[in-house]
Amino acid sequence: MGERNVKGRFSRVFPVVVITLLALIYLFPILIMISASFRSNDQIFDTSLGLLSRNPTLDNFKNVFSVMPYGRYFGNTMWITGMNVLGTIFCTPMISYSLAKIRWKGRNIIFSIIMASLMIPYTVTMIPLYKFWTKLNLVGTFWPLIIPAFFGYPFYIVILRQFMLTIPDELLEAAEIDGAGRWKIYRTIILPLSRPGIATITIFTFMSTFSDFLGPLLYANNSDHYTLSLGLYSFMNEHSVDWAGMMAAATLLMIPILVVFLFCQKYLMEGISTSGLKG
Amino acid sequence: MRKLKRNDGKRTWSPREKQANRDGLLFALPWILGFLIFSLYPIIMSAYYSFTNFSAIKDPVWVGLKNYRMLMKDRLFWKSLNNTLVYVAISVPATIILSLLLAALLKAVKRGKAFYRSVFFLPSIFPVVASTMIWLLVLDPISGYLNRFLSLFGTPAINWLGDPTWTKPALVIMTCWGVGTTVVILLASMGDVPPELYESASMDGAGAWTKFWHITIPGIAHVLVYQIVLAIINGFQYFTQVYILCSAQSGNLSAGVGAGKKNSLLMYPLYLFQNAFARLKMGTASAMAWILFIIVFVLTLVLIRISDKYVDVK
Repeated sequence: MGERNVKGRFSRVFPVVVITLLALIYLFPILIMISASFRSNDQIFDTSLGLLSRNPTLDNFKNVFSVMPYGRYFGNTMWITGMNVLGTIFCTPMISYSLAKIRWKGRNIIFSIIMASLMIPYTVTMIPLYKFWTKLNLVGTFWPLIIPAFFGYPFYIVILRQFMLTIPDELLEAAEIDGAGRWKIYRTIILPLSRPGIATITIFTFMSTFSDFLGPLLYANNSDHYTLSLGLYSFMNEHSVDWAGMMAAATLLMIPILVVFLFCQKYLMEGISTSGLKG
Repeated sequence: MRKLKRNDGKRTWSPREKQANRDGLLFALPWILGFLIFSLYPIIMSAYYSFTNFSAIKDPVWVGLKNYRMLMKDRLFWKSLNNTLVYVAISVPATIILSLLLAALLKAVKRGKAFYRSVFFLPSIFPVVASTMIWLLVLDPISGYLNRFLSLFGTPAINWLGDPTWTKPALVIMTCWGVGTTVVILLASMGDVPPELYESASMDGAGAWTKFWHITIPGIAHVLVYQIVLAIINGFQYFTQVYILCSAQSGNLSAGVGAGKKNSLLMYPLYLFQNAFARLKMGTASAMAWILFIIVFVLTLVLIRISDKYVDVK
């Protein structure tokens, strides 16, 4: 009995100890980033300070704001992100509705193609698409980063479809008996009931567009059109010895992501949890 | 207004079904158009370009298999393929095992679960540029925090991102920091394993390890396989981090000309990108894209075949 008790306590305490250690390791780089952004450059590697700073300073942030047109980059990023969110909200629910709740002959084949297209490497489509946007004379504008969102991204379609499958069919059938057409059903039943799912894909879209690097690198390639990610990247190349400045810039890039994460954690976690369960 | 549904070979559609076919197509139309323009058309064009001599400025000229033949003789092509294979071979098992471990620990923890989950998840939503910068600081050979920590155990300083033997482990460490998404997915699927299974196993006196190996793993196998496939696909497409690291090392912003010491950071997609946008050899780059596509496709297919054999899908 006694031995069992000890063993029980051990198996309860052991995971907590290990997970706390691992959590500290995972947190460490983030804490370093934040703390370094308040230090002067000669203290960056000073471990004797722990995570604190001698004479914490805001100079790094001031410096970032003075060399980087942060407001403009932020505006660019928010424009692209906002338009992507708009496109996603506008289009994805329709497509998901068609796949989740309308029995039509093309449904299964379309769904299979969507699942398969999740596996297409971007490297295959990158060059022809670049050529495509070049021909349309849109390289160097935001449009190549915005227009595709209005046609629905497979990943979000699949997540939202998964969500819509949980809407009871009886509701839709009842509306149908009352003579409602599909567009009306979509507007009055599907959309309101899918709100949590739509919130989830909105957050996903926000996160991935906000942090995107390759897209802006290819298409928003003049400093007027830089996003925050590209701005940070060019800052890094021009100020590669200014660790404190770089960390301040990185911290600034993180803040919007952190805010969204803190407020929308529930949707984010639920969305990701369901995204792993395919089919 | 009901039935009329016939299920014999050539079917006739009732008016209601016709309506459904029309509506379904209409609602799905945006994606169908998007797929044709932004996926199918580029895939076909990419295959065509791979048989041409093509720079962004001039129109493509048919050259047959020349791009593929040239690649077979290109030392850097093999080097980049090798780099990517090594990276995938280390990073996939490392991230999957780590994710399993973290998910299992999260499952075992009673208090503060949401907090720990957030901590592990957070790095995975970091913008890549920001996280790569942080790792430049942590992995700095002279005064970086990781080397400082290791020196406590008497380990000599490692030039993580400069020494060709250490670049891949360094990249894998960076990747391991971003496993949060996989952890959350695995944790969720572990929650779907029926608790009765664990209870009856406990009655039989099974230990934690036995339960993990014989109940948890089979219970989440289908999700796990999917995550492994994703990890492989992502591994082959690993690009942004090395692009940023290389330009940080070479101090050159344009089209990523750097490749790390002895090309040790030259991942396959990076070399592809350099061919396409720095050397403007877009035909060659398209050929590289197709070789990658086929490798990933075959690997995925093999994995799914193997898993279908051993994993019973419910």
